[in-house]
Amino acid sequence: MTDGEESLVIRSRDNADREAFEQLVRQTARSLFAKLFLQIGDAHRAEDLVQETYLRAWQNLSKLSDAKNFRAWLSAIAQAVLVDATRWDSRKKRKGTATKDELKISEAIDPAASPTDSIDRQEQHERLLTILRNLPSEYRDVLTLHYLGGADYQTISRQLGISNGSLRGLLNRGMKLLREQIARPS
Amino acid sequence: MNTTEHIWFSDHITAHLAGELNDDEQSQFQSHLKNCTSCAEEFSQIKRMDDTMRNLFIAPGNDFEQRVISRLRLSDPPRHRLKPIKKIVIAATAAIALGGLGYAGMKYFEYGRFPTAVDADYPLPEKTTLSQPQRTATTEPAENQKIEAKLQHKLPEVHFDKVALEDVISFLRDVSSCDIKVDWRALQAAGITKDKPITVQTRDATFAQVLQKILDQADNGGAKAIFTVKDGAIVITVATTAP
Repeated sequence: MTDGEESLVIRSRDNADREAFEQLVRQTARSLFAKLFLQIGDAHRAEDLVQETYLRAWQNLSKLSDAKNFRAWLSAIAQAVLVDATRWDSRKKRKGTATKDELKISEAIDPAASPTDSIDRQEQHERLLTILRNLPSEYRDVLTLHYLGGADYQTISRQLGISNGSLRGLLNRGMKLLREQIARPS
Repeated sequence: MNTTEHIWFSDHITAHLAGELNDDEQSQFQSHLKNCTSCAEEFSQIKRMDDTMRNLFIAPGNDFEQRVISRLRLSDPPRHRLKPIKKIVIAATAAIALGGLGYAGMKYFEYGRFPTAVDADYPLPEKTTLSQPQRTATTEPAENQKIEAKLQHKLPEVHFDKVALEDVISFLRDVSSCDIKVDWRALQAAGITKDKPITVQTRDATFAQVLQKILDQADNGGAKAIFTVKDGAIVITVATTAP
């Protein structure tokens, strides 16, 4: 965490400074989204979870004792939000009704595709997510932020604290790893 | 071409695909691509992988952060002494700001009056009955129209599991940024207590519908709990039916 970020956390927490908190959202939301997207595989749902995470964080900011821990604290809230949402889904499944979000996953892939194509794409979607989850963190972080989070190089460099040159190398090697692993029989 | 050139090319494939190369780099990249068969093959493979990733995963768009912030702006500032609200599971409640689809007519909810008004700010309206709406949209003050607009917004998912009525209302007050005033004396006279456990699950219901469901459940077989919009606030009290 940079000094600037720590200062934003302190202003948000101690003065209920909404502007400072919004700046924190700008600096951290895409990374949080990418992590949640990687976990659940559904962009729409990940965005809802991000929204709920920041709402809880904003309302409970006074409970954050050490401003340096903001990102870890935010991740913990995101996980709690995800657990709550998963419990809700489980209840719906037990009742035998698929949620709209579950349906959205297959619809979002390609609504015009044939059922077979859709299944193939969904399998590929799941497989790639699984491979991404198991990549070494230095490659996983840049790949998810770029492809799942839609972040440009400047954003990734800023959020992960790495140079543009390092980022290029990591992305390229990460893509090669991904390509090798996807080529292996599943 | 020497090894360094091949390595340089390889390291810049993803940057090229992301449009992140400057003019000089782009020129160097294209020149190498045209003249090196093995690097062209590598480029082709990485490009296929890049296409696959972009096709399979929907990135959230450039306005993602602004969407999050816009919805967050509807929430209240943090309080330093929050009441613990237990057993609440809410997914995307802040999307109160979104929705806007359909509106079943808030007027249905606005038939109540204040039979035991305890606050000088909320004087009893004259001869208000269930069949007699208190006002029409054309005469509503702007502050009330804002509240009504919020009541129309859809909540993607709401789940209260045996949460005390008072905490449920506090929570709704927090996430909606609406001023919600409760005439507890009237409610308690009707047998509706602050600790009445509420269990409500909804999906894609409007804020108004969620609130009405909560009040329906709070009913104790006596007078009916209702809400109305007055002076820029949602006021919860009990209804008195026409004789």
